[in-house]
Amino acid sequence: MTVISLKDVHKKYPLGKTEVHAVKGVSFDIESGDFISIAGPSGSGKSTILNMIGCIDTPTEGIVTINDTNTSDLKDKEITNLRHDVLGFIFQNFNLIPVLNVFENIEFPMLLGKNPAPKAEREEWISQLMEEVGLGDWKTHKPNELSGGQRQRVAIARALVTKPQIVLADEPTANLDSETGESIIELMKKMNKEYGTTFIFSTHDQTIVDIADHVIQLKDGKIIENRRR
Amino acid sequence: MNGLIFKIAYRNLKEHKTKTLIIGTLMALAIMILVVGNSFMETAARGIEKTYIQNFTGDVVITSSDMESASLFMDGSMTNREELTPVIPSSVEIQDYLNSLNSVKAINPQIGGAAQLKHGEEGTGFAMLFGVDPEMYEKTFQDNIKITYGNFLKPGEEGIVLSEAAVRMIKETSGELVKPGDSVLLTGINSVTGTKIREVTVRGTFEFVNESPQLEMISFIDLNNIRILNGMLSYTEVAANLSDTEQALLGELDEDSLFGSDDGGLFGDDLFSDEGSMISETSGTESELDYMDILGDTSGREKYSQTDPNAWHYMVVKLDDSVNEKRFIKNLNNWFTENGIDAKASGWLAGAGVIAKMSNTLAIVFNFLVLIVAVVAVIIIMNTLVISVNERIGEIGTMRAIGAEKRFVRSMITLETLMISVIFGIIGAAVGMIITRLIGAIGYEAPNTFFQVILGGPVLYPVISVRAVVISLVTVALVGIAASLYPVSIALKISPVKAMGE
Repeated sequence: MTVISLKDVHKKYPLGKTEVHAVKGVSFDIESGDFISIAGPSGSGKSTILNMIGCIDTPTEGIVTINDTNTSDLKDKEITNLRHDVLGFIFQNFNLIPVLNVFENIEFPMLLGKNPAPKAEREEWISQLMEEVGLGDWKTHKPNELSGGQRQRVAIARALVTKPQIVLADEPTANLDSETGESIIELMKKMNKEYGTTFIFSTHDQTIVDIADHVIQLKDGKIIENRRR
Repeated sequence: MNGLIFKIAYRNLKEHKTKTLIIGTLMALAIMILVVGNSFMETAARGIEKTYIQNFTGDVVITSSDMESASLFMDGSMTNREELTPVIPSSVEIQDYLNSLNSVKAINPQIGGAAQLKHGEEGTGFAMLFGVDPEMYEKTFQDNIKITYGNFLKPGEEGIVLSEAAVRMIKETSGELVKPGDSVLLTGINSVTGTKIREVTVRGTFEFVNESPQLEMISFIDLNNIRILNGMLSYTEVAANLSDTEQALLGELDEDSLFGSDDGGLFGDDLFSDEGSMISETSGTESELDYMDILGDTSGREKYSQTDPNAWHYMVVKLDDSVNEKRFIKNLNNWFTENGIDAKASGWLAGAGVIAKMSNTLAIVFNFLVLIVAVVAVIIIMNTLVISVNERIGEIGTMRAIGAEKRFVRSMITLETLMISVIFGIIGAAVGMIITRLIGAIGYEAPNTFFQVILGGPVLYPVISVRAVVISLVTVALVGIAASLYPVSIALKISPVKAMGE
């Protein structure tokens, strides 16, 4: 089932008196449960495409649909709700909320919903996730007390806590050492298999590219390769 | 979600201590000044109000509608002596009406004036005069004066009760102390009878129990003398009524008829005759008038030089404590209108005059200055919050990216500012209350006469004003909300894409 579809998407940014054409007519589909890597060198437009899929940027031309909904037609509140209900985000810099501890950071998206689950149910699910990501004993620690790898694990747990259909990860291993990066990738792969969550990576980490089911190679804003294993 | 917002706001305040302390200290200082200042102002104002209502103005002051100012101290009219100070019309009717009302405790009709004092050859002074009926005055204002020598006016007695300040003035110029039984000359000027000099017996000397520089020049005088000094005579109300003969006499007189005719004119040959007769040559009427009849009959002159016993400048009314003064005044003014009486009722402040209003004015000026300070505080707090928001672009962008709506971000930042306002507002209010309490225990001595007047006495013992505390807290909260408006608008413009880059 196609969950995301890009059709002839362009993105242009003004840069002083000139214009940067970051994405040039990109089209592809993403199926449910895909573990997809959008790869390419710096400046190839992979983060831009991820932003447009994540509805935090809008295409200059073309259509981006999520579950057959054209994201350009949505108002701010609808987009916010879409991001909350359907998408999960993992950032390059972890982007945890510094004043909340591990448990609270993971819990945060659940409390933004209109009808949050009862407290006991939330605690059970979050504890399970924390065990899955290997942070069972770090419940009350603040982000500044964690290593980079631990923070990224918190971010992964946070991205999965609302059981989203799609998780978008922008260079998730960029600030991690290779060993930690590998373990993170393994974890996400495991989540992908266990929960059927679609993972979309914007990365130039070859490790991720190697284990991805679907690879889209970009160069200068265009797709040069689109292959499925 | 509210619990989450509260948790994040509270922890952010703890996390960013410097910002919190800068903003909080400003707010605490502002509220402390507001509490102390307003407590001072309110205590002074209440003191002045109580003093004036209990001792001088009562709750309501009635005057003629033509009276520019209802001030018992004749502010303004003292310098304009070209016109008579208007008297209250239909004063008898008004008194009867007031006496019929249960809400009226006491009425004191009163006349205002001023006079130069002269005692002996060299003793001079000045007195503002309150012309009163002693019985009615003492019934209305009980125990507000302290007789230092002699006694107060007695009913029906003419005389003056001099203020201690007037006595001192005379002593300074003459070296003599005025005693009860002495006479003083009072010189007053009015536009009807011109300069009037009255020799009045001093019955006593006094000072007001509640001292005030504005009041120390007041002396009490009997009604007859003050009416004469003010030209408040019966003839000023009644048109001259002359007989036909008197009219003819006045109409036909010229120099020849007075002095130049063969028969001696008006007075005939016998100017000084006991039986001098007046011959009038009027058209068609010749009558011999008995000269002595006309000039010997002084009843007209006596009638015209009598003082008007119903002429009053003011009527001071004391109301029962349960009565709403504003409503009473409104109803009374309506009654005046319905009955065609050209009088007006005013509150105590109008009767208290310029000096008492100064205290009110000072409170307005103080609060205006506070407003200016509040604006400056808003700007400083706003700038601090903008810096704080800019430091949290990544955090706010992330929140938006993972599903936080704009109202979440707005609530979070507004709540942070409100929490600072409330916490430091309470601290500032507490400090302000302690300072007020301390000064209230010691007393604040007025450094000069001006402050004595506006503080309502030589020493002020400020009392904590609950109203001031509440208003100050509300003001600080509003300042906080106002200061957060712009930083919130910046925060709402932070797009989630910024979180990617932070």
